[in-house]
Amino acid sequence: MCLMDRPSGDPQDESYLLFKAIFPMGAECLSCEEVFDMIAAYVEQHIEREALVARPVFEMISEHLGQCSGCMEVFKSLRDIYRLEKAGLLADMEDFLNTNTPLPLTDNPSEST
Amino acid sequence: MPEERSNNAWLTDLQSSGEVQGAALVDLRRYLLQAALAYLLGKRGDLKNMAPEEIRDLAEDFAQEALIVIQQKLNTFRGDSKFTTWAYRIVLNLAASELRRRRWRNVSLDSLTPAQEGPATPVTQTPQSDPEQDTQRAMVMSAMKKVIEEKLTERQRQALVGVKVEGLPVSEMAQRLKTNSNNVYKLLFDARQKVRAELEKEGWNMPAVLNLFEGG
Repeated sequence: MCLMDRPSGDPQDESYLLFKAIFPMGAECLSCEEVFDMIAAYVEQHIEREALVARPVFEMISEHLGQCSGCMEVFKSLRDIYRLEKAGLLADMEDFLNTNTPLPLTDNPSEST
Repeated sequence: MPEERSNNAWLTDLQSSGEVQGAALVDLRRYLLQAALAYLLGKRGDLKNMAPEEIRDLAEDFAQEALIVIQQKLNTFRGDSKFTTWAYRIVLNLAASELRRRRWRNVSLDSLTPAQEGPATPVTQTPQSDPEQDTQRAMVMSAMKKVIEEKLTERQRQALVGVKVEGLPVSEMAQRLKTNSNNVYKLLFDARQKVRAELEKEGWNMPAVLNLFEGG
């Protein structure tokens, strides 16, 4: 039984947060540590959809990300960096910094967590 | 840009010694610095008072710290992603934790309120809610809050409320409680166990409680 599958409760509501603190997740749910452990592979599959095979656990990671703002932040940041690296722009970060140029990051509507 | 290494080459070079290891460390540090800079550039809104040199220095610190962590965790790399992606997540996590810590720096523990006084709020109140279920949920929440207030130690309560309700980073809570992160995790674990045990003592059946909250 996985609490994260439960649509009940406003994630900002104190009662919901308390309940989630006491009943964090069932055996089939992933902890933040487990998600962090697999987030690199997940991001690569997220970007390289056709080249890499999705593992069943990735579905659980998606569910976790939908409920966990901390892990979602790491996911989005890592995804952005992977995109920048793929575009050959990661080496130019100092130029972006010195010229105060915004990073060329846009959400890809075809991608979803 | 340093020459791209395979995953095996990264592991071999970083685990070797002398010049080969030194060159790999220099390359990895450069990659980590770029990733840290990219992260901080994406957070410019949070860093608007910082000059480019200060941002660069901060990124250098994250890269250096990540380099040490990565060397300690090399044997945990399973090769299911590029080595650099695996390494980036470590520098990102350090940077994200530090930025969160900075945001929380001025928040006092006194402002943390463990449980509201008065009637408990049902966890879910939607137009489709079953009133009877809402009442039962409210009873569970009320019992839970009472246990948290009356049965947990002060430190367990602070850890539970601070980390899980207020969203305080574990590292920041550890600092406030003058302990380390592992002890905060232990406090959270013990708090959770105690609340569950106390609820069961009061006659709440745990599967039934979970079912009560299932599906709204």
